[in-house]
Amino acid sequence: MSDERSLPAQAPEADKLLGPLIAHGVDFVLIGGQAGISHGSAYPSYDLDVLYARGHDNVVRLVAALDEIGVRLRGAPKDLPFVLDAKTIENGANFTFITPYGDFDVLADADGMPSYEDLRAAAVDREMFGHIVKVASLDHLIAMKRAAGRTKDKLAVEEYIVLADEQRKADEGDR
Amino acid sequence: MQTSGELLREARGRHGVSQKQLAMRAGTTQSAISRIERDRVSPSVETLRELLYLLGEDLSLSADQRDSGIDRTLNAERLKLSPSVRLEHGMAFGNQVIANSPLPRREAW
Repeated sequence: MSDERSLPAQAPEADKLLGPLIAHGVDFVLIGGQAGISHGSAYPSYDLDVLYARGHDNVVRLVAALDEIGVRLRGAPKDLPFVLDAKTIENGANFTFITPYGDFDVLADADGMPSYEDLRAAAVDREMFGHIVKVASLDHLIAMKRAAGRTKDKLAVEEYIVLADEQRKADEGDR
Repeated sequence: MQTSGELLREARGRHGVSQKQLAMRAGTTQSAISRIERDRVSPSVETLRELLYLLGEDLSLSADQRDSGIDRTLNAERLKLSPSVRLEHGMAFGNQVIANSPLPRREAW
């Protein structure tokens, strides 16, 4: 979701970004490289990506969480007016933010994703920093990375396929 | 990996059968066989199986694990950690890469 030819000032602090979303009851699913890392990926990721449900009430909760985090549009001129409210989010879809805790992409849709409902239904609950976070399944991450198609995404696809194998073996070992 | 066309052409060659002869056996045209062998069209598995059968050979399919260069031991070690610790390690690794990368930095908060 980010420019491959530059890097952010810092890697995202996941707990600082996810905590407010959970505290405000936002319906979201963690996707992208951080989701991959939570599944066991060894590749670094320089932003944090979430997909959110588009219902009005959820957007209102999302806005409250974003306000608490402190966000502004990434790459936009600092004098470009940006009003963080439900109307703005509903009039747009995908927002790429910079925050005090790293780059944060808040998306309504992503290439290769199924419907949000299907993505959410297949997501796995992972305990992170004392919270339960819905993380996109490896299968859906593979589909989204394959659709994104950049070099780093292709590498991720290969790794996620291996990870899915390893997870299956680990699950079988647990039985 | 061989293409379907290469596979068919080699099999036909082993049996000294011309394209026209194979087409006759299969009830199709020489040009259809030619298109397959030149990989202009991709035959279905069933079509390829039938053409090879008509040459006295059986098609066997197999799927082998791909060597994608991923270090499985590294991933196996990650899976021993909790998701929170994985993310903490990921953040530290990301910051290490950022600190040592010659790429330009994007704006900071």
